[in-house]
Amino acid sequence: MIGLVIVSHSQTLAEGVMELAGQMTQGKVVMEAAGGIDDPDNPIGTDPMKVMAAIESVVASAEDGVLVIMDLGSALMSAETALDFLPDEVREKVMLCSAPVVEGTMAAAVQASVGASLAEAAAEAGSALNVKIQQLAPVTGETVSGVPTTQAEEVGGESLSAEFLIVNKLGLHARPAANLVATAGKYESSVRIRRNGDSASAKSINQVALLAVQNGETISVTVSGPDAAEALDAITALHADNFGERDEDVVAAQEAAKPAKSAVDGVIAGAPGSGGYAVGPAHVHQARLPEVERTEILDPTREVERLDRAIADALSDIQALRRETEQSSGKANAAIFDAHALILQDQDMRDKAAEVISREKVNAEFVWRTVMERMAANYRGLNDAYMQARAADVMDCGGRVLRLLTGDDGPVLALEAESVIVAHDLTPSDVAGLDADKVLGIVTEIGGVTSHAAILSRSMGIPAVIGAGEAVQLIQDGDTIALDGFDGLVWAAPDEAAVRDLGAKRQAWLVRREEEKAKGAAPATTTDGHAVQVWGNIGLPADAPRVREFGGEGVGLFRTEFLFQDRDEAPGEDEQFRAYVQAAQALGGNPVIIRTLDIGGDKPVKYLSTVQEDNPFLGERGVRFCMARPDLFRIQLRALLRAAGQENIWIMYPMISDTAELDGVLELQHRVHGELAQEGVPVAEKVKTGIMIEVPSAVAVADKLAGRCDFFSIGTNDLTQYVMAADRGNASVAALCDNLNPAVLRMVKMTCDAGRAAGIEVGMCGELAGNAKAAPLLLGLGLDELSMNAPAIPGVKEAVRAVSMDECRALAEKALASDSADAVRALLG
Amino acid sequence: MSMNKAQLVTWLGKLNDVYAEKKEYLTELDAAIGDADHGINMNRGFGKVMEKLPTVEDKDIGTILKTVGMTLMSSVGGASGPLYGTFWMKGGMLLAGKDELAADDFVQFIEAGVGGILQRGRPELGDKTMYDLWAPVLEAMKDEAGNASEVIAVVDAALPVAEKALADTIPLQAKKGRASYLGERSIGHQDPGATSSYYMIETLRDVLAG
Repeated sequence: MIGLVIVSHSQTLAEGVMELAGQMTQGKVVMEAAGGIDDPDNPIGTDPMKVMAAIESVVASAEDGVLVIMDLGSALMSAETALDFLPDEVREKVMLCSAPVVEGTMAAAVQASVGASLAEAAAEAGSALNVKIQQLAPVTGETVSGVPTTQAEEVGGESLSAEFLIVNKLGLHARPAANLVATAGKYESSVRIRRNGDSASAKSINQVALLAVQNGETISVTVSGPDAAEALDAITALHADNFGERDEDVVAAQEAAKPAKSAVDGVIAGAPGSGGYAVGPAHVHQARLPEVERTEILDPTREVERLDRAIADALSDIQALRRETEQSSGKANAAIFDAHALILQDQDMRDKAAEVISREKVNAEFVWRTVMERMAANYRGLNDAYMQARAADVMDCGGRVLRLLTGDDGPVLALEAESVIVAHDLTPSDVAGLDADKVLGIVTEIGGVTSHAAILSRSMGIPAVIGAGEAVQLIQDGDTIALDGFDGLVWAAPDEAAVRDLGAKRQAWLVRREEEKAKGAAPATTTDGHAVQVWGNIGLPADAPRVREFGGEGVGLFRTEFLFQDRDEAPGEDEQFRAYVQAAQALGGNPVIIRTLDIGGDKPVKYLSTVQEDNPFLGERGVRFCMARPDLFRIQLRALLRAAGQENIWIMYPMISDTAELDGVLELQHRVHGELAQEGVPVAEKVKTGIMIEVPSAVAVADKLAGRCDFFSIGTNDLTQYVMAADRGNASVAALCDNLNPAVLRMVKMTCDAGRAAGIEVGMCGELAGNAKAAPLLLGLGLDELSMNAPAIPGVKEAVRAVSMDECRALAEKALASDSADAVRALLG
Repeated sequence: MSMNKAQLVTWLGKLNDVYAEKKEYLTELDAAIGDADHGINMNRGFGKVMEKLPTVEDKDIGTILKTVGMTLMSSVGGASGPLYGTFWMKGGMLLAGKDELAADDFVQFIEAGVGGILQRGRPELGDKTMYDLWAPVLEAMKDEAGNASEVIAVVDAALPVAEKALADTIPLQAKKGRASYLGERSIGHQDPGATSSYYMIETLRDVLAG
């Protein structure tokens, strides 16, 4: 196998690219990052000696050679210089590659993982940009020249074909495409995939990616060669496994994206961002940066400190937004914030600003604005549509720093009445703070079907037309406009007939949607009459109505962290009380399980002092953190107990690891309860109190714990990590972290058995609970309640209705006796 | 008169002083058309050379030059690292075993060094790089070495040529490095790499003149 060396001016970039490529290839390819130079004050640069050392290290385990991928300028020269220094026998095995560093490394890594030669990997890497050019073609008008779409690779032997429906949410994009190429690459036979008239070799990552197969499309796979049958079997199995994607990344095939229609008279055409119809007043959103003036300052050191603090605060806000977005709409949507964090962590920009502040004694706001605008202008000036689009990211995260420096929050995207939002583009920050109920639709001037605005509007079910072009600028605030998100059309000035027509279509569409939700509303009862509670997880009170909308009969997990994050001080007792009551009211008397603050070194909150821990996952988190800060904890307990006096609220403690810990927490709750009663504050006589089961020791003593509380809720994400001793964020061990591993399932079973023996309810609120395929297994293991992100509720309910408890128990028995997570997955079908 | 080892060591020491003194100026030049790190890079590079120098001072000129090249290569950081690194190393390989340089030796050193720059950076005349300075300087040195025998005469002859070549980089449009992204905006600024090269010649002239 060949290995890769990534050379960059920035060590962070080189390592980041390597991490990304490592994730796509599951650590199969040997890679080294040679970035930056050995000068802590000015770490940006390239060092030929580092490159040489990296090549020597990789060549030792990559017998087929080393491909070196570099960024620009001195990186090339350093790589060439490194070659000069290497002994001939090593130099012969090294190839320098002109591919762009990010895309090229991804392509080369995938090729390397399937055993490609240096030349093959270099060729794939070299054309890696074509994928992006083609995907952005509707927006940029660029075209790919000379894409190799056919390749002579016919081999003798039989020829077999099969058709597959693609249900992956984003189609055959990066990860599923990489898995397909990896599988196809194992066989001698040629493997071609066809979609309509287009075809591609399944052994080429670029060709597969360029084919851009979307969710809901069908591909035909033709395998020819001596091992055709085996190859087709392997691809069939891969397809059954959703090309290796988790279930949360897979949706039922529906509304495959259609190409934008050409403009009809008076109608603006854009990309169909999210299906649906809307008619209503336009709300034109102008992103604006705070005005800043140049003023002289006396103390540059202080001014630089102000800037550093603003950058640090902005970073912490971005990280909070990232977590929030990840919880509400998944990892992929949250990834944009990683890019923003990287931009703000760029020392170059910070140092430039600091230098000007010190030299010219000017205020930080003015200097920062100048520096960020110049940086954005540099991006815009590049002859590459993708890089040009990064200018918006610079302005978004740079603007956040500017707003922190000036205290001017700028226009918040807040809607007074139901409106169609019209914007140049929507930044992740704009969308994250939006009240989804008031948004009839979304129209943006720039972007494509995979832009942030499009992805978010789809996950929120809001019709959207994305990238409708400059014509959008003619729309005025308050104009009545109409849009068709299925075809990507916007009527900027619809006549009466159009308003009527689209209004009627909207009604019909809403009715259809309601029918789908109604399926969620009916109870989840097995064919033999066993009822299961299917509940929703929420992060903020505003999410609660969605749980009901999708048919959730309760909230199984209200994560209170979000109330505490992204602000300057902890919420007070009354504020918390109102939030808890508000969430419970939205559920109209159904139970709402509120988990006490679950933070620690792994999820820091800026105003709460968290100690830097070597191993935050095994450190002071959950109740351990709260018990060490009784002032903070008391306030939350008071708010919870008061709210529970009014609404159907249950209290749940995270990270309980033994009986002493639980006793301590219950004792504190008891004292706080007594204080409230003494103050004459109305509290419930008895509040249902339970614990999360996520630490293996809690499973071991579940019988003891069950006698002390009213319910258990299994947190599968943390339980899996702790049981398997594998961090799921660590690509090299992430595969171990599989919540279907029989070891994890046995822990679940033990917990359910202990709960049953003590007569308390056992629920589950981790990722596994939202996996519809796993629902029968979970029932069979003995769970009474499953809690998940709201959109997953209807699917899980359907799955429950299709089985009997006998079938569930038989399935659970087989799963518990299985040897591996894959074997369990095969049982689930 | 030939150039001896003591003069070489003095030259390197003075260059270190010059790059420390001109750190801000070179960085400002680079800020206008590049990434504002040339002064920092050169200062760091020669600072490291000063750290290494005592370990090779008593070795031959070839070894000293090679050490300078290796040190610059791995400490400068920007494109000038591999470029100047190659420049000095090529000279070092050529002059192995020598303890003093006649005019011919010196010109061969510069010729090999400039060859190294060409090989590494593949510049063309007019690309607005250090090569725009070194190409005419090398010609002038070769011409002078043809009729004189003293290193100082060779350097004396090259200095005005270098001065003019440096000024001539101002109207050029950059074609290499990050400056090339600026296109026409790079016109009107003196090239920082050519400037740091000019200091090498100017400083050597001062050292040889005593």
